[in-house]
Amino acid sequence: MQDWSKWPTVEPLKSSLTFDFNNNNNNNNNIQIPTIITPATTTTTTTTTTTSTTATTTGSISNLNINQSDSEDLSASDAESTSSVVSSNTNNTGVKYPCLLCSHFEFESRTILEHIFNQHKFVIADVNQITNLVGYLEHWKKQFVGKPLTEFTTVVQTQTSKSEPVTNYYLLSDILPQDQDIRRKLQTGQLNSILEQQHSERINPNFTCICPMCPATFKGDRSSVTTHLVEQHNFNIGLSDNLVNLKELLEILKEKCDEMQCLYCEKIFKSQSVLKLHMKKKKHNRLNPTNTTYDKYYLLNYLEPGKNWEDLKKDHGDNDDDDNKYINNIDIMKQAQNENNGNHQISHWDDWTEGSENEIEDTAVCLFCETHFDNSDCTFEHMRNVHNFDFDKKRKSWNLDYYESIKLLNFIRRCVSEMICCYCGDNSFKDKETFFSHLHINQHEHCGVIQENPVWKDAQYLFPTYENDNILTNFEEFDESENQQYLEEELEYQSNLIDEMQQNRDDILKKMNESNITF
Amino acid sequence: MADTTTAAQADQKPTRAFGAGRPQRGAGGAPQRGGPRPQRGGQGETKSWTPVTKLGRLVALGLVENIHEIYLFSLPIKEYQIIDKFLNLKDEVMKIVPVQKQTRAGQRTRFKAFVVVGDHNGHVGLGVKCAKEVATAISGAIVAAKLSVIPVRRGYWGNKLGAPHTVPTKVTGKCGSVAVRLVPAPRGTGIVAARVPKKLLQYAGVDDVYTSSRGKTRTMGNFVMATFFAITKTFAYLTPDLWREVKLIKTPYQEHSAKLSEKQQ
Repeated sequence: MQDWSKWPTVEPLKSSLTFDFNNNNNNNNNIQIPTIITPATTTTTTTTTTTSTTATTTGSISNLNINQSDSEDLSASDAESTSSVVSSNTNNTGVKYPCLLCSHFEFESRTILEHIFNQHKFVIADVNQITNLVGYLEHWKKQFVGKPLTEFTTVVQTQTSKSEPVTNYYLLSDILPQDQDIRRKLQTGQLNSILEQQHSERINPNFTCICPMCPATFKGDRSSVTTHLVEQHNFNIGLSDNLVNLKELLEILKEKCDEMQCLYCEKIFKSQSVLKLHMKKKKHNRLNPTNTTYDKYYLLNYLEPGKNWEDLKKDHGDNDDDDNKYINNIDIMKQAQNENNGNHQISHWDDWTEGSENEIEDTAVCLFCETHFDNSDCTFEHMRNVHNFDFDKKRKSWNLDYYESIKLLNFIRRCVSEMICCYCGDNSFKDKETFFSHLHINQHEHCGVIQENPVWKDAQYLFPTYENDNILTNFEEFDESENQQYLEEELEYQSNLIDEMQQNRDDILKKMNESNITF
Repeated sequence: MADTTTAAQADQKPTRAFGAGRPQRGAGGAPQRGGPRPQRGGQGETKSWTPVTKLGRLVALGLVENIHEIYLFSLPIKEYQIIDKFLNLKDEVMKIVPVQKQTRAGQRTRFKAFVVVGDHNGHVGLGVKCAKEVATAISGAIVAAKLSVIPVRRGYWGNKLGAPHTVPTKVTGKCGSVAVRLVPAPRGTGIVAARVPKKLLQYAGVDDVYTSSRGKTRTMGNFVMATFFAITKTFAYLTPDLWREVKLIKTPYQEHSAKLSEKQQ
């Protein structure tokens, strides 16, 4: 029996440690950490790589010229392009529009479309409704390689006069389902990124801005500016939840006010007081609806490209039919009961699925080496295969309950962070390499803990060693049987109760009949 | 409800201010200089609430003292102002997703908002609403969240010293393919969970808990709903300290039936 008192003493942690995800020593799965750029910064570009072209094309400006801060995943077939944050002022950051059929580049959408029309007699239908022209062109460029144009396009034959030869024009439109698909994907990609941006603006506690009409400053809540404009200046730009890039919009408004320009009719006046009088008298207390420079600040315009907000208001169509019924607390309880019985009703919550941006939250780190994995299942498998550490088997053979398993995991984490061997208690290691090589000797014999060792059963290991340690939340194989047993017992008890009540009722009825009581 | 009336008025005038319009509150006051607009989270001017349900009338008259009287009898709450009267709830938007529906005239895209409300001390609710504008979706989702507010029972891990801080027993919730299990934890552990369920548990007022999840947790909607069902079960579980028999009391409808049968002004 080993003498456990010789084990190096470890002080309980004051607060949990944090993982350092930036250092990957030997990683099997490389995780790209997306850098989230706040809208406060001006011009930063991230290079984009497409799988087909070797030349790197930067940026992607949609027809509305918006700012996008997160990486966009447009995985149509293989086309992948990440959008960058481009300030709306500088338009010449090298956005290249590639030609579909040759290797010609242009810097503006108008000129590339002209080139395509003149050189190749090729027309794209509804070009204004494509949200991301570069992505679209790149996708089709790959598709056209080696295949005839007529496979994808419809041919329009024109003849200027009877004597002239017939010329063929090729039209690419969304009659083709693949085209419809790519357009829709581009649009949802853009919509998602713009919503992301609005969300980051909403939770940003450092939001500060100045009112366009008076020198008052506002911090924190975006809605305070819009309420101030309504209350103090009687000017209505809309609810802050419908707006994105609010700071830019306010700057534009401020510029206009400083130039003594009315925001509705856009006439210039001589002084501030004349301007205010005009706006009050004529009731010009909203923005000019026909001015398209304001379009990109309102989220409503991103829903359907090509339609502006006036058209959208007109086609109400069928309003929310199924959404009008509010779920209350009793419905929730009924739904919970249904879930337990196994009847899952497709709830309103099914639409929310997290995409690739949450990979960093799912990542888990191995206990015995510093490898990161995409999720905790991979981590446990790795530990089984490489480190001979089968946690599920250990739990079953040592009969560990939930709390003891937690203690074991936290203990191993703690030992590894302090460079103490969790198996033999050796703490003479000076650096990580020797420590890990010690752990891995003898076919990873020391990757584990001896059951009799009382040190790991200490209560301090109930506290998680690392914050956001995903293996703590996912180590359990769900034992349906435990819950199932409770449910069965509950049902049995309830049916017994009902039988008893019915029995009582029958007895009472019988007695009444016997004694002939009438009311 | 108050929100829908202002939205309808906004539609009549083709203004750039979507959803806000002219906040015509009260009895048709000065049309231009409207009162403070109902910003999300802000107090502003509350239009006086005329209750529509029986429970609403009782609450408006002040005959119901505590929201737990309502929970005791499992009465359905159909007006969110009832919750507002008893609880001071904070709200937060968790996510806005665009959803699409295929119609004959192409596609119809709308915004769907997911909102959590809670008072960080035993009451939490989740709401979801779909609408054409983000602001409408958010305010609708807050109403939905307030209607779904549920009480959360907290207990102790070990010694019953101080205030309750963790779930009283191990509870499991399931939604779709995701199952979540909450396990009591000692004081000081904190909430050991993924980011979104952690937020929900913080709003519920649970200080320490371990969680265990299974299934496709990428479907965040089901994941958060499963934790919500799990904390719902804390008050559904009969622990030994609740075995003592309690005298039956009358439901509020029965007790105040006289007041209810009075004609409303």
